[in-house]
Amino acid sequence: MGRLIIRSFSEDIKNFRNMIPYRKKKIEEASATALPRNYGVNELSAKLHPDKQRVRISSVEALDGRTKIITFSSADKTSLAPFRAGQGINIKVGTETEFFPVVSVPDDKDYSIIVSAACEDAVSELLLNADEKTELEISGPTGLFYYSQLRDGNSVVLICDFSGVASAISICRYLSGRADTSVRVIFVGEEENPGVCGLFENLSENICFFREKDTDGIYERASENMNTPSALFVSGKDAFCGKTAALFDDSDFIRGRIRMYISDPETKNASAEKYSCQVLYRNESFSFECFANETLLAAFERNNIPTQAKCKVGECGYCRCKLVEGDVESVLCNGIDSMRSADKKYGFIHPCRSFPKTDIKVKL
Amino acid sequence: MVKYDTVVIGAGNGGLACANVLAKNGQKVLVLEQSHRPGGFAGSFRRGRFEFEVSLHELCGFGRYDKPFGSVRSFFDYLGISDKIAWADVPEAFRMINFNPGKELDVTMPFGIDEFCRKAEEYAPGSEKGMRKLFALGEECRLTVEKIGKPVPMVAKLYALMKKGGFIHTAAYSVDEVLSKIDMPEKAKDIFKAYWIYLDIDTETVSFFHYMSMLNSYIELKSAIPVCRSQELINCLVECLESNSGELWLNSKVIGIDVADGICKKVILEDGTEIEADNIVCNCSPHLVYGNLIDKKSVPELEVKKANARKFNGRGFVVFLGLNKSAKELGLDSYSYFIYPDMDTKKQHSLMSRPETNDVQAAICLNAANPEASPEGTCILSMTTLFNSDYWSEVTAEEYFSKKEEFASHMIDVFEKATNIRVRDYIEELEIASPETFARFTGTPQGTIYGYHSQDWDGALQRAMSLAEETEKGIKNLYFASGWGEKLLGYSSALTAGRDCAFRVLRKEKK
Repeated sequence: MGRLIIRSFSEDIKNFRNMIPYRKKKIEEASATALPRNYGVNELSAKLHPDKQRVRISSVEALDGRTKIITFSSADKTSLAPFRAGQGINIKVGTETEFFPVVSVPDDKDYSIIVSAACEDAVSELLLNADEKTELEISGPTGLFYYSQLRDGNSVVLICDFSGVASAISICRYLSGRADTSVRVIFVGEEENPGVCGLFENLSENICFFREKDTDGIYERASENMNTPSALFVSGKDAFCGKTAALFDDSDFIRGRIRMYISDPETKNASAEKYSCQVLYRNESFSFECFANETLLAAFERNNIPTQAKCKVGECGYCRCKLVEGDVESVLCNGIDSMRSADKKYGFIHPCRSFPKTDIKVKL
Repeated sequence: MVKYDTVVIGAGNGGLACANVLAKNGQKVLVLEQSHRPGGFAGSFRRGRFEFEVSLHELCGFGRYDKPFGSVRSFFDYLGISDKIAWADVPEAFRMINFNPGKELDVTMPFGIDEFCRKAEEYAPGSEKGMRKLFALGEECRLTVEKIGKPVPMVAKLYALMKKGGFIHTAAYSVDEVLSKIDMPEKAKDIFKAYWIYLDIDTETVSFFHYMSMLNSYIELKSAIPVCRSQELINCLVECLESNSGELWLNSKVIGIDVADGICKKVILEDGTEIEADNIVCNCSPHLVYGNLIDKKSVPELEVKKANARKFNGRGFVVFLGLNKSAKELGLDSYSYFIYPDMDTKKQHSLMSRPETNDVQAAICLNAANPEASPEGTCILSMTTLFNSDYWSEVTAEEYFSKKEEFASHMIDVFEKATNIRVRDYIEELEIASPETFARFTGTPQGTIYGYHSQDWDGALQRAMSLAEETEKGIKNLYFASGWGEKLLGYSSALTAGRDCAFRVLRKEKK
């Protein structure tokens, strides 16, 4: 192959030799102004996904004797992070963290949640007894149970029980009034929740609301006079969601999967066997007891281990850690295994869905 | 206070590669990662029954068994991890679709220089000779640079430089300028330029040497993907690091680097923990290091000026689709799809600043290389583009989710129009990563996923040739391991940049 000359022999050599001096000149000519500390995209990102938000209770509305709608506004001058209809927030009291779906819609700016005495957890108890103006810290909006137009299309069915009603209402209200979208809501619950049923009132014509006593009539309700829905959202207790999903098992009812929000992911009936748990974190080691009927994550939180967690249903992977010694039972929520294939191969677990079967050693 | 030989900031490819080499050579090493997951741009996430690559997917220059030199595989061999990871070969180099009316082009190009040149001849008769000449030039460049980089006498270096001359004559020029001297049909030149989006530099600007190094490494040394996604490589690198007594701390964000008398001393974590180290290796952008981590008074003027002279390269945008039809049913036969509205790369590069004019994308169907990438009857398709502006910082928080979805829908339109394959009706899972998403998980400024733009004065060659001198003038014992450094960003190049950085640290220690 002959030598390829681009401009001329001497000019090519000259330009080659000039490469570094040219670079030096360009750098020399540049501004010496100090570099920025912040960038627009990074600031927006932090605004969209804050770890924590300081809020104040701006209103408390009693739905019935045991249920309240509590609304949070920002306690500082910043606005609350926007959320997607169906998502929720985590609230931590002491060592206990609970997830609450937001019942308001993104346009409301404030977050409203439904708190029920039936939940019997420390966070709900504190919230039910809190006055207006009480300040507290909540997480940023989180969760994969949300409506996406591009994915979920224009024909949506929502099925919920009392514990899953908040996210269903949020999605309904978000889609209310959209002429091109039809929504069918099936609420499964007793007559004694009139306040909750009332939340579905005053929605526009594109939302059809049905109440069923139990899961038996769901399939019929969901499918009667309806073309194939583009999305099916089920929210409520683990047993309810499982039973509901099973109704659609053998049908081509929807094009995608059934999306689920499970309100009580931790339930497991097992003996209260006690094990020892050792956590390696950075160059420290923590030891404590854990129980066969609690998730490892619950044991970590009870013992103030600096762990990360968001969803508690195995989906988000924030609590991912390596099982160094011992054995756990992984209990899946909604039948979907959300472990990365490589994480499985390398012995990682999601503590939020792992119940100890032996003494345990993990590395965070 | 804990003390280490080297602290590495960032457990991405560059950081883990660097830490592994150091630990293997007996150093006490700590890698600090702000996120809950190691890997940065390499890794995976789940949605429903699908597992997606975060962004990086194929390792170019993976290596051939008969010709392993210069490949990423030889680095993995050095670490002893090549065979611990299950690899899947990428079946062909790329399918490129140019849908510019009148200049339409739809070509599927194979790996292997011979095969590539022959295929180009089929699509564009009269191109084989020119195409072979380009690859031969590329090989001359590679051999010359390899010689220059080795500790051989200066005379031998000069001899290598002058012998064939391919390198010295093309080094200062762009792809377009070199192509103008090659007798080849326009169509063949368009095929040659297909990979430009992987560097995010138009062919009028990108140095021929840099482009050719990448093209050669793809075409000659082929590419491969880890079967369990990039997270497998990352998990393997972490395990290898720990087996050599190296440490990785997750959820450990560095907020400061202490510098005294021009020498870096320690890093400070968000929770106040201080860690002393002889060397600090940054696997993140110099903008972040000199703008946020180090006290302004301690930053040398040269570094500030250099950073100010630079421009960020593309900010990433990816649409991930889990489709409930198989790749075969949909007709997704190729692994990589380069989709261009036309091959005026300069024009397209500038149009990639606004969502309404950005029609360029590289789409990947994982199942084409790994049929078991998703359950039977489904497949994974992801579409990536870049923004060459700060458009995404002008979006408000309130409109963010709808803007993001709107543009994702646009990208699906473009894909469907170019390939004539309908995917919209089969979306079971959807996720969208915007520049905000990349900023959130990696801290990268403006969501940049491609490091600094390779301007005419700031190409891979100029960076490599100035590295020693510029390091000498910088903060002592402070290093950069990532693609923000001399090799620019890329999957394989970030790994080799990390490796080379480790050898620089070891050489300095030896002195």
